[in-house]
Amino acid sequence: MSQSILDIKNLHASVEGNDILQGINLAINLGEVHAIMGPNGSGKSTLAQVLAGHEAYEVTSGEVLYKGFDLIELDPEERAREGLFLAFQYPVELPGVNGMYFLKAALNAVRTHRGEEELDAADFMALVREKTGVLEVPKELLNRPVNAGFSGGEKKRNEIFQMTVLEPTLAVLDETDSGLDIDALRVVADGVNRLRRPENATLVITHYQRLLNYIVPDFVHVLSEGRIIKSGEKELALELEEKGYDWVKEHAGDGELVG
Amino acid sequence: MSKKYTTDNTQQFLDAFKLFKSSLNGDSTGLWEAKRAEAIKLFEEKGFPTTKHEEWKYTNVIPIVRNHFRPVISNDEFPVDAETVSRNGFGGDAYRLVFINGHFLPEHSTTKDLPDGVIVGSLGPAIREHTELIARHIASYSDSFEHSFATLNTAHIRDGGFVFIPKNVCLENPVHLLYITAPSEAVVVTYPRTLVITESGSQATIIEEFVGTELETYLTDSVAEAIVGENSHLSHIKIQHESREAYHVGASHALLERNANYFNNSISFGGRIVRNDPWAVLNGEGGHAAIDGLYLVGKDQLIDNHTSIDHRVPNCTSHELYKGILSENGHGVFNGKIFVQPDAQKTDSVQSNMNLLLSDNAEIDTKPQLEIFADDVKCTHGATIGRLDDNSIFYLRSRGIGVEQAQKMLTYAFATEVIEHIKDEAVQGYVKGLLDSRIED
Ligand SMILES: Nc1ncnc2c1ncn2[C@@H]1O[C@H](COP(=O)(O)OP(=O)(O)OP(=O)(O)O)[C@@H](O)[C@H]1O
Ligand SMILES: [Mg+2]
Repeated sequence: MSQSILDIKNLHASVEGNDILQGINLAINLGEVHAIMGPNGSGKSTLAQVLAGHEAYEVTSGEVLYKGFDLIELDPEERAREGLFLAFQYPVELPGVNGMYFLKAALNAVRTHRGEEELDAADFMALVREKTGVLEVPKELLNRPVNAGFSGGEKKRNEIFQMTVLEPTLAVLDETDSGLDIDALRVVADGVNRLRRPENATLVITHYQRLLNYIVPDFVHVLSEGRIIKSGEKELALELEEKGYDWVKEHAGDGELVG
Repeated sequence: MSKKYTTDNTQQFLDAFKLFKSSLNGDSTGLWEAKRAEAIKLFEEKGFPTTKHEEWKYTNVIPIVRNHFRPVISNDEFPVDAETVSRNGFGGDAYRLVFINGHFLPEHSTTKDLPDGVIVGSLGPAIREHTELIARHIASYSDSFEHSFATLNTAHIRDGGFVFIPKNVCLENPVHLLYITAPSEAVVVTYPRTLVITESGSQATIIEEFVGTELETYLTDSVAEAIVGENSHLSHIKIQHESREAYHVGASHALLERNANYFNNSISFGGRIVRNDPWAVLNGEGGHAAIDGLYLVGKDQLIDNHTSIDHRVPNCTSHELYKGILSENGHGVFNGKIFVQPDAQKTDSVQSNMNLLLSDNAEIDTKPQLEIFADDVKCTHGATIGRLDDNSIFYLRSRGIGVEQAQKMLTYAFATEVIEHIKDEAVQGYVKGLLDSRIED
């Protein structure tokens, strides 16, 4: 039997007093890629931020088991050190924080947590060279302050680059494909596919079926008004693209779930 | 009528001056004598400013001037080893003049391989050799007499840095003036004096560095004057990391001639009460002044920056960026004056003061002061007071970086913009190191 990495049970969360997530259930096993699709404002990013531990989002009930332990109890940095990675929908600009320095600090935090030795500047550079090579990330991006003044596409690539270096166990990608041209999309998809191994898992949040041509998911879930209203295999994405969210809502018997 | 000056507390400075004067044993030139006499008289008349004085509203000088400070008469009392020097200051390639407790230390200084015509030396001996040149400039700019501490400094002129860069000479290495205050029996005051002259078409970087070796109470009362000649470039970097128990009052005056470029960067880390008064006067068309500063204000510290940029002629530009980081019960002040005189049409001036508050008990008073008497000018200014951004902290934490480290990284990032304006890479690296260790505390 495959091993569970993430198990979300009846998760409710609110932000600034508004209930956004209204009972999410989702189980992900190692080796799997899940996609979550849903209209604007349905709570996709809220779910991602809750998983990463943003303090503005309050979990009001339910539980999240990550590697079998209570994720909600952990600080954001502890989650990251345990191999959880969120590629932000809107990566934060950090003027004055050098990209290399930032990533080295992040990697060493993870390594220290795992009981591995910290990488020195030279070893880190070697690692970066290796990873930038395969990912075609312009080196200049790393010598600049993190995301400061980057274009939307550059920011997304930078998220994927960080992911590649940090090698997470569970990666959550929040609309990493939005706004990317097809070349950039391929770079992002390659990054994800390269990490696809039996010992990790990926949760891809997207608006567009297009991404799923490049990252083929094992399961697709439709999120609407804070709930997963339908789950299926990769064909569901195509159906969704063709018929729209309203069709899913009807088909799922939305009224019944809301009651 | 409100009392803008006080004569209390002046007597002990006058007594100390007598002591200083008798120690000179007639070893003094006529020029110094005249300047001294004029200055001490002025000081005696005026005394120290009170907080009723508009320029000293936030800085009560009483805690400083009630101390019985003594100038150090001879440096024989303080043998200094090379290690003390190298441990306490910038160690990169430089022409270096080291002063301890106000006295020049030739054995720790180096001015080897200076290009022809360049003078880098102690002001004391220089006055004999270059009397005319120095006399023409030193304490000649009336501004310096409005400020009681600057006046006191002038009365005590004896040693300090003298730098002269002749026409069209570009000095590659910076000139480093290291002013160290070391432990002493008495509560010490030093009066460092710096005079820099860059002739037309020349270029130089001057670092004034102030440091205390121990946690002691003392006063550094410094004045620097720069005459930035036509089309010359002068970078003037002040690095102040005095003892946390020390007082530091420092003024600088730069006079910019036609097409001159003057860059002043004032980095303040140390001191209990610190006052910085950088002045730049744009006196020839086409001049550009960049006046930058960084102040880290922590527990029980007050750092007061009073900057002035005076546009006297048309077609000059000025750019000012001051950033403050305030923690614990630290108190910071930024008062930025921009004068645009009636003739100074087409002035283009930008001023910005940004403050990062790391504690609820910290305090910042920020005030732009634009006095514009010309009509065809562009002057903008802005001030911000903010805290660390929660989303930025979260982003770092989401990558595994702990809260404390995330806060430090963002604090450091806030400050680096000012430091990165320092063009000399070795100096920039040195200041970044100092910043890093201050943030780590
Ligand atoms: N920090 C916040 N403060 C207030 N309301 C918020 C906040 N974050 C999200 N919301 C609200 O929660 C709801 C869900 O937002 P969320 O960002 O999770 O949607 P989404 O599915 O990611 O949308 P999109 O497709 O536009 O990215 C929206 O109504 C949004 O306005
Ligand atoms: Mg979203």
